[in-house]
Amino acid sequence: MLKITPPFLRDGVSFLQIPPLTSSTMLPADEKALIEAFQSGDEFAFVSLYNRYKTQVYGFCVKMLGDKTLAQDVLQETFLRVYENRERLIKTSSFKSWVFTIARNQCLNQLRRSKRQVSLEDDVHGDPAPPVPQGQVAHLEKSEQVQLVNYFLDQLKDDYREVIILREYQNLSYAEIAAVTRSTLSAVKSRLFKARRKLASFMEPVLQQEQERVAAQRTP
Amino acid sequence: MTDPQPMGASSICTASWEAALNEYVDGELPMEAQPRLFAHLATCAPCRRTLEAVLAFRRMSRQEPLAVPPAADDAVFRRLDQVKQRAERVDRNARQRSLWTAPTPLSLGAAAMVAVVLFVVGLLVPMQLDEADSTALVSAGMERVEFEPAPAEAVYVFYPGLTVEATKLDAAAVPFRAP
Ligand SMILES: [Zn+2]
Repeated sequence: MLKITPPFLRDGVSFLQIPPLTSSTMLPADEKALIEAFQSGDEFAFVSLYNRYKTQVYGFCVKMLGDKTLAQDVLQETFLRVYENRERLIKTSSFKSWVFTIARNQCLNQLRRSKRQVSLEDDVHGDPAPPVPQGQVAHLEKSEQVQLVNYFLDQLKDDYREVIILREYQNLSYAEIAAVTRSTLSAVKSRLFKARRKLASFMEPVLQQEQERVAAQRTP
Repeated sequence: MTDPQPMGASSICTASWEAALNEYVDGELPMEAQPRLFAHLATCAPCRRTLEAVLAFRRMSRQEPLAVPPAADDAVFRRLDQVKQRAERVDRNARQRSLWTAPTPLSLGAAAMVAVVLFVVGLLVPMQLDEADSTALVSAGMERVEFEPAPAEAVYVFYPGLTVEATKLDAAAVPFRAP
């Protein structure tokens, strides 16, 4: 494998230290059998599948809804529908996409209900001014970092937020995201890239500020 | 460094560099295209800033472990149990109903027999209708059922599935007679 260390390092951290995401659409060896058993009514198989996917689905819902209690309701509703509609799943290989599709629909319904969805015409809603952290980003408390990224996520409109969550948090491939969001591969890439551009524009002032602070500390 | 112009332009930043950058962070950029991206990054400050921002976001977004609370697991399984019980009840009702509504299998021979009987009855009905005494769809040749008029003083006692008759006079002495 050819590795070229880029000439830019920030605080000794190269981007190569953060491994690029990799995603696999291949099912684990035993999962196909598990899904087939589930479809034929095996409840132990269902519990196994629930345990495999619950964290990912829950994480997706928390990030989409910004509320853990609502996310738990949606998690419940999602797996209930998975259970009730098990005969409708045609391809076992698309189980993951199918579960996320159900979860996504439930989240969008919930968002509509709680009237959080603002005009789709707007790229962002609300006041985009981020809560600028007092300390360096690298030295922020974990909870402060979480608060900051959640704030940024919340600034994205729903269809940008969902692709970011599916990719950055849940590690779905472009193809899986396309299946879940019922769009084409190119539409997914386009939305993901635009969403990242937006996120980068939120992050840059924070990083800039940090850079200036570090520079000021170094100057005697 | 390798050729820094994979997409035509020199170090001018184009949308294709942004795409390559995104594909790189998604682990989707082919290995052979990576050196050229790194070379571009070395000369393009905006792309570098974007990359740093995206990766900083990723670092920060991984600070929040989200686990499903055990109570939420319980709620899921409780709910499923309710659904299952409901489904079983519906199933049971459907089975019971089907005992009554199940179609009776009819053989070809039986069907032919029924058709012949209906044909014969059809032939006889007009003849009977001509007769003055035509209260029942039974021909003279068929069994005639005579109903003996019940004694005026008789009382009838009805029990589910059994009708008993007794006279007023010796209601106590006369044993019940099934109809
Ligand atoms: Zn560039």
